[in-house]
Amino acid sequence: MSEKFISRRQFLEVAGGALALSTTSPLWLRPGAAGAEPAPAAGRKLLVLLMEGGNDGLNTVVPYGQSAYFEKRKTIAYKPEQIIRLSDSSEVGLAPQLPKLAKLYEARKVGIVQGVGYDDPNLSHFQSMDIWQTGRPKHDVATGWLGRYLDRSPGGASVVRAVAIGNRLPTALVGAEESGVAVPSFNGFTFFDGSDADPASEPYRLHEAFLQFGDATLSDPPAQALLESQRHTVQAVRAIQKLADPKARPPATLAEQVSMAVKLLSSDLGVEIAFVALGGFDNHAAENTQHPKLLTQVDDAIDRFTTEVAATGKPGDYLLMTFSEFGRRVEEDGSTGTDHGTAAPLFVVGDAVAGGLYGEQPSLTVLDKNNNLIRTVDYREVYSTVLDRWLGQVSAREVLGTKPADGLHPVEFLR
Amino acid sequence: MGEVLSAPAAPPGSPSVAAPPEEERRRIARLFARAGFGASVDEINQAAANGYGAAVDALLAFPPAATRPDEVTVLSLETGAPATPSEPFAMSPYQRWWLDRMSATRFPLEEKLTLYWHNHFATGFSKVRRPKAMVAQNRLLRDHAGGNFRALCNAIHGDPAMLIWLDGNTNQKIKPNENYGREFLELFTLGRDRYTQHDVAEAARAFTGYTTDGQGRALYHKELHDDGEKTLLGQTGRWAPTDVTDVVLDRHPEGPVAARYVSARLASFFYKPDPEPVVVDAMAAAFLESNYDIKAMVKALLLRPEFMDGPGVTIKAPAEYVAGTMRLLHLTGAPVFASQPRRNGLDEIAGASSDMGQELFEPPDVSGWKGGAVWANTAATLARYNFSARIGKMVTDNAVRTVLDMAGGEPRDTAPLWMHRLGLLSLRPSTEAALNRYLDASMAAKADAGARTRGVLTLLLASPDFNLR
Repeated sequence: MSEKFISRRQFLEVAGGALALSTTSPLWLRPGAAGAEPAPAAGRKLLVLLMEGGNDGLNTVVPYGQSAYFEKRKTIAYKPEQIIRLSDSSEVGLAPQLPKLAKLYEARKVGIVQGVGYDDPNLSHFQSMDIWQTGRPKHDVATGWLGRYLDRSPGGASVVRAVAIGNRLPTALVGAEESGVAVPSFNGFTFFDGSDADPASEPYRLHEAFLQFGDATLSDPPAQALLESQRHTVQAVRAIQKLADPKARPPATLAEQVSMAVKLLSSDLGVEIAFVALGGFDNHAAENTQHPKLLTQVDDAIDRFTTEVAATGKPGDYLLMTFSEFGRRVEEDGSTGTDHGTAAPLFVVGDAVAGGLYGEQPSLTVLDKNNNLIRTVDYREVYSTVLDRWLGQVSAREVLGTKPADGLHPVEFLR
Repeated sequence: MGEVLSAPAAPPGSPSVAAPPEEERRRIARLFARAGFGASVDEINQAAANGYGAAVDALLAFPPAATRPDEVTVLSLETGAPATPSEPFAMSPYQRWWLDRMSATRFPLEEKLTLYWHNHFATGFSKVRRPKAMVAQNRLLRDHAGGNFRALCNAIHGDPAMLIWLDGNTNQKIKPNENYGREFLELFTLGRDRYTQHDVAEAARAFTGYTTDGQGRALYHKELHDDGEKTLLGQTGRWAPTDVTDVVLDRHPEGPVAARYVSARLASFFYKPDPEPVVVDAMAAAFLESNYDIKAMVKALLLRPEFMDGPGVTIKAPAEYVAGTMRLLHLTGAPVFASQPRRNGLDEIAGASSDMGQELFEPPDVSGWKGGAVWANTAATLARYNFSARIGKMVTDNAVRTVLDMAGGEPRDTAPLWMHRLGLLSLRPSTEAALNRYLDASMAAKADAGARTRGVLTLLLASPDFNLR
């Protein structure tokens, strides 16, 4: 249903006014997955938003068209009148905490990819997170899918191509040769002993020594990681402190993280990828008090994203995608919460997004052996779109190690 | 600036003990860094005179915390802590208290094990929100730190903070909640892929019956417990919580899976990520032979030749790096960094550990801090440098003068004195080269001798040599 709608819409866009895109993205000549020719990056930016802990997809994009939703969730289901209806669906709507997202959806700036997961689902947070972040269902590598993109694509002179907001670096941004940098806040990412802009200053001499500690050759992976990080840190701080605003507070909300991310992405530092995260989605209990607060933060953050990228003057250059390690069980548990599940929807947002519903909403009654949803879209199909159709430079096949026999097809959510 | 840092101890060559063989000193220095919070070269020399084996025995010889007078301090701390939900900053005094305790303890291995168990049974304040329950769990972990793992597991099943953290307090027999059951199998005892979803559901049933009250106390109700038959890991019985421990530890169809998992996880913290299988086997064998005595398992690790003489290193966890620095520079209890209050009033030294990626009582999730290379990202590395720079700046003028005098007025010669204090027996050539380049450049710039002395300390604290163990 939605597929047809989107195809028609894309056609209209191309025929209408979006022909200027054709030099970088000839929509009507899109090669099939088999012969994908990576397009150049052309200044495109990606913001990844992680909903950590396993977001309840069924209480985010609500499948009110299936009565099982109300039957299996006696205490946590939204009432029909609470659900925000979407103009192009009579099957799914949005949770009441997502009014801004709904508005953007109706403005065709949001794509909802339904039923995203992977085969043989793993209900462990940590294995599932590894599967998503490495981009490998067997999570058999130490690097992340975006880290491998960094490794394999030319980054020019930039020392900061990927940034995680916070003091942790997600696996997704870990490469074998090049990793992202973790930045907790702009003014928290400066040297305590002062700027080293002047090579005749004491801080400069100290920081140079700190950087030179990295000249050692050590064989253990943690030691190598530390030395690499010492070099990387001095370079990254020198680059990023140009953006520092002494009055800026550390980001306290997801929306403030997004603001910081967009500031980095839109700077002249050559940042291509940013990563923000919100935890707390593991709502085994008291979901109806916990989950709505989190969704409100997500709603605010996505709205902030569209406002701030519009302010850059090049909103078409920015794409946001959300993900979570898994969705949750269809049937609620006895603690007014939900146990670990499988497939869930994710959002893609931006002017470059065609908007609408993609993939299919899984059935709430035809379930797997653990009474969980059966995925309709493989998460690597979403990654393939991001890699082949958005970031370009390196093919999804190379980054993800997929083969034609895997039968994966990019999800056509871009204009 | 207050007197927060005394001058270094007497330089090498004090007549306390004869210089022992270099190899033994190196072993001992690493032992103290790994199984404790570091030691000065004097302490290393003294221990080396008695030999490595004696040092291991001394580290392991801590009496159970529950029988000691310092337990009184913890109990009073616990009694005074808010029992009701509180804001995050309510934890900062306890974070600081724990770092102080790590830095001052007479039983460094006990405290290191407590830190380890906090990571193993990782519980976060942001969900528990009751300082009293968090402090009580900290005491529980210390009481069992070197005790019996089976008893530790059984105590954890009914620990209020854990019951709140993994929803054990709402796990009812009508519709069980799988949160605790899953993580008990996956993270606390068996590891990934050593159990099935069916085992998770059955374990969840077996753990039913607990609630917590408004004061955050744990209660066990027979009538809320599902006492029907459950089949866990192929074993059928009317399993209750402590039975789950026994089935998991003793009756796994694949053999001593739990002994190996816990040994490997502990070795990856104390020793290095991905410890050799032969090391894990030896630990697991000692663990099983002693019916899960934690000290026996730890001792097997500390006496392995790979551990004693192998090249393996890892990055110090932030808490041990911070507490170790406090210990070696006598900063315990000092009002450090108070001149720049942190957001929410968080104590700065506790904040330093958080900025490096380890906020005590607030692990990133129930799997704890990953450790190893994961400590080395730019935010964390910058936080380590900035901590070093803060310490370098806050050294008292008196201390700087004393060190400079001992070095005959030459900043370059303060390096061996600081190293002596920090327990660094030598430096990697690259560290020494970088330090020398700094000293040359700062001399050419005619920098003040005091500033250069502080610079030497900053760089030693920030060096890979002091950050790795």
